[in-house]
This record gives sequence, structure tokens and C-alpha cells, in this order.
Amino acid sequence: MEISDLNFLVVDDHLMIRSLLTKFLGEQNAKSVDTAVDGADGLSKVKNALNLNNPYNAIFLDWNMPKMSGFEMLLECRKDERLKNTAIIMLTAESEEENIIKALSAGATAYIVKPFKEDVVLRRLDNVVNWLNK
Amino acid sequence: MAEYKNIVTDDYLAHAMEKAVHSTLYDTYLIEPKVGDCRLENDIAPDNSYIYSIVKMKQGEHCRNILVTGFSQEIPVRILANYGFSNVVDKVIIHDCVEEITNIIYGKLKASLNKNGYEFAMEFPEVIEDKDVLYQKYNSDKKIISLPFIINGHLGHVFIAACN
Repeated sequence: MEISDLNFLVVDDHLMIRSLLTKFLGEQNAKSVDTAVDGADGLSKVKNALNLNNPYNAIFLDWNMPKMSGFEMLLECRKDERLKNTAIIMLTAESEEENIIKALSAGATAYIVKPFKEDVVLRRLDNVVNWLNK
Repeated sequence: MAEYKNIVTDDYLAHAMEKAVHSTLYDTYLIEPKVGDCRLENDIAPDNSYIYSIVKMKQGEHCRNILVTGFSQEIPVRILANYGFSNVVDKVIIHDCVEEITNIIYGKLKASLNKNGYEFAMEFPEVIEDKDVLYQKYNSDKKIISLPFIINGHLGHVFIAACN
């Protein structure tokens, strides 16, 4: 698998971040990029994609969002056996070590702290591709 | 009631605020700000050209302080232009940008301060359009910590004020 084979979902309550990542992933030739505005919207899109037999391969997930936080969405995703091969990358302003550990322990595949640089996102994407290819 | 460390008596704060502002604007938005010196002011000087955003700085259930950011509109417009949003005039998009900048500044500041024992929690930023509403959010009888910065000749501020 390469980035060009992957379907992405970007979950963030801020339009700027959704746009920034959509543009960036497009430049990396991602197969598709969808967006969601909070954890509840994200979870709904994830379940719909599963039901259509076209699951997301990787999800970029903010933490601090209304209705359902990114951490709550992460927990819900990891309860679903069908999503065990979906990479979940936290992308958040939460930078404290205990929260990073909390997210990784709960099943996040990778963690990126805002403000982020594109080369950091690229490195995490490489890690995600390797993880998906295992 | 739990005892929490008081932010207004801490020298570490100035450096944490400067670092949060610089890192947020430069690392993500590729804009080099000139960050001024942190100082105490009597009030948040109202500026009609500013867009203000606030975040409650909660410690447990208690909120003694708020973070306030003020940007002239040209700053978020410039940032948005860097990412393909040309000539943005849509208030919703500009406010979204201001909230996200504030979110990241607060996240960085919180992480620095919590290493020093403050125990701040992450909260949602919100843009305050009405200056009268802004004045109700903080206690103007107490000193305000102010950090000015300039980007391409446009002024911005980050304040920490006591809650009302």
C-alpha cells in the first residue's frame, strides 16, 4: 500500500485544519480525503464507510471537539473489530506527555502535536503506511 | 477546595507566553512574529480593529483566569492566504482561523505551565464579537498580563486576565 491507495478522514472542528490537511493529503496523492466537524460526525462517517464496504484506511483526529471529543471517538473506533486495521493519528494541541501516553495506550497509531510542520506529518504518514503494510 | 498555583505571581509565565505565540505563528503558519515584552496592564485596551477570542483557563472546576487573544483582521487573512484561501472576507472563516490560532497558543502555553505545576485543562476557544461581552468576561479591577506582537506591521496581543 502507498498513500495513493489510501482513503483518509480528517476530523477537526476547525475549517482551517480540515482544509490544510485536505490540501496536504491531496498533494501526497491520497486516494480520497473526507472531513468531519466533530467526533460524532466522524464516527458516523466511519460507520457509514464500513457499511459501504469502503472503510477509511487512516483517520486524522483532533482531541478537543464539541459533541464528542477525539479521544471518545478513538475509544469508540477501537471497540469495533472491523476498524482494527484503520490507522488513527491524533492531531491535536494537547501536547502533555500523559495525554500522549493516554491516546497511544487507547489505540492511537500515531500522535502529532499542533502546531505541526509538514515534514512531521509526512514522517507520520510513512509510519502509518508501514503499519498498514504489516 | 484544592489549592492551585496562582499564575499572576510567576516569572516563568512571560517566557511560556512568548514561546507559545512565536511557535504557533511560525511553526504552523510560517509567519515570523516580532514578539514584544510581557507586561502588566490596567485593562485590555479596546481596539475596534481587533478580533478577540477567549479561552477559560480552568484548574479543576475552578476558573480564575482567561486567555484573551486579539488580532487585527489582516493577521488571520494573511494566514489563510498562505493556505489557499485568497482574499477572504467571510467572517465565519476568519473567526474559525482566529479560534484555531488561539487553541494552539493555549495548548502550547498550557503544556509549558502545567510542567510548572499549574494543572490547566484544555478548553474551547470562542470568538467574542461584542466588546461589551468581552468586558464582562474578565475582572478589570485586577492587573492584566499583556504580550504584544507584530506580524508584517499588524498588531496582535495575547492577554491573561482574571475571571469575573
